Amino acid sequence: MEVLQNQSISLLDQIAVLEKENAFLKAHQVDIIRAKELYLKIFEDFPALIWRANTEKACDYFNRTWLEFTGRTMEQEYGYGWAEYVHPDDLKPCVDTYIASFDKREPFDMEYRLKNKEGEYRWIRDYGRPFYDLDNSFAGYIGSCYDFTDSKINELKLKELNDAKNRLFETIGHDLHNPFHSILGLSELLMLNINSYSQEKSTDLSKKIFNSTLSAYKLLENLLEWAKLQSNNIAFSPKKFDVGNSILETKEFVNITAATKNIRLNINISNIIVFADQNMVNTIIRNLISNAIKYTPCGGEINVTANTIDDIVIVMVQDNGVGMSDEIKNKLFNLQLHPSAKGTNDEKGTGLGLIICKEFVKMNKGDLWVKSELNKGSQFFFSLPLGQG
Amino acid sequence: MNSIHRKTIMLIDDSSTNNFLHKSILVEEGFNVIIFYDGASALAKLNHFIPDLIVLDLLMPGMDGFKFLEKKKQLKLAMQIPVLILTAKHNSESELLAKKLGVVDYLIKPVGVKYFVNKIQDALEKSTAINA
Repeated sequence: MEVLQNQSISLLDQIAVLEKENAFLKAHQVDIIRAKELYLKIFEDFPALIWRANTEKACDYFNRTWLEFTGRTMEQEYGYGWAEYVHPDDLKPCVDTYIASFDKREPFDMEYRLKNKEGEYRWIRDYGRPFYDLDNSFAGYIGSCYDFTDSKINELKLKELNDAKNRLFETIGHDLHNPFHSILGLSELLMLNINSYSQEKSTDLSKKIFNSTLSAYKLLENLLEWAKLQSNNIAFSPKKFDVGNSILETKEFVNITAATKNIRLNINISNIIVFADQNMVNTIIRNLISNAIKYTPCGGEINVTANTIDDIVIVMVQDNGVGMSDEIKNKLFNLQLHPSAKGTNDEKGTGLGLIICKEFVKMNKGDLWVKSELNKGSQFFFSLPLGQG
Repeated sequence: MNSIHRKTIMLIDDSSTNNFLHKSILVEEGFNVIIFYDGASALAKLNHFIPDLIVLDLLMPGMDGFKFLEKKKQLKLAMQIPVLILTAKHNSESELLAKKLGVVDYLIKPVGVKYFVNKIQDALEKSTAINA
């Protein structure tokens, strides 16, 4: 009897222990489930687009951030469904990288455009890594993607600017070699034949040497100004001065070129005091008048006038030259589009001068604009603040 | 040099100053010179006129030097005319492409008068040797 009693106590104890263990396990099972749910929620809410692929390369999970980005369901994205929203131009390199990395079990990172729910393609950087389960067996790939559209756009813009700069340097190199080829060749020819050439031929050669030198000098001067602008290394010292005087000083500089083309240069400006950087204004005027001479045929006419309106002065440089089509006019102040054309007497140019003028006018709180008609001529205007008081 | 035996050189350059310079040098040396300012009009002339040598610029508006070389290869009469490039385009890719298109020499501006004349004579001698 005593034995039976002892056995039943022992069983009761064991049941109690088992019940305790059961309660403990139940409590922990809940904890495990909660922990699993928590980690899943972290994945779901993670501020990156997360995907997972099985060992057969087919995607079997996308987090909520991904699905909210594309506006599609998990079912639509499963397998290779996600590829439907990759930009057609990026699809092949994207799939090739994915498959090649997968086959080698190597991590990858790649860029591609992925369409969002608004239908806009966004630049995505996708980092994929192989992942292994608890037994260390290959279980597929996991990846996280980040939208880096803003920095990609900046990178593309930078590349575009850099390409434009390289193109510009190539053009400048070409346009500098050409006048120097003429200068060196013509002066050598003159030197070798100085005793046998007629006065007329020597004068002709000298004129050509002069024009080529001037062309190279103008290009060089603009190039240096542009370089200073690019490096923010340009002195800006506004002061009050008579813009009419600046124009008359420029006339001295450009008169010889105008005379070689028999172009009449009329300057009609009374005393107008502006508040601006005088060197910059001189560069603007010199470029605009030089351009007018360049694109006006022999015997043409250039008028320079100025009008005051309220607290600004508007200077106009008008020619009756070859003018411009709307297409050229629209590209005029864009270095990337580079619309430089030859002058009526074969004068070269890079299009740099007008870009410098536009920047200089802007720095002086003014504006620069153009009216032009093909085969009729052009009118360039720029405004400056008046130096009141 | 007797005018009947004078060699004729076709100059193609969009710069009138360069054409003036090259013509002045070559006329002094006793060559006949014919000038064109663009590739298309020079090509039209080659349908019925065969110069002894072409001196060609590369960067020209409209038809550039490379296009000219490609088109010239298709002309039965003109395909054998030697071409010497005289350009401010200073890069090895352009030189390689021009040589692939069959030019006899590639000169980069600026070039001196005597050097230019020597190169013209070399090009003419080379082409005479090939055609002999």
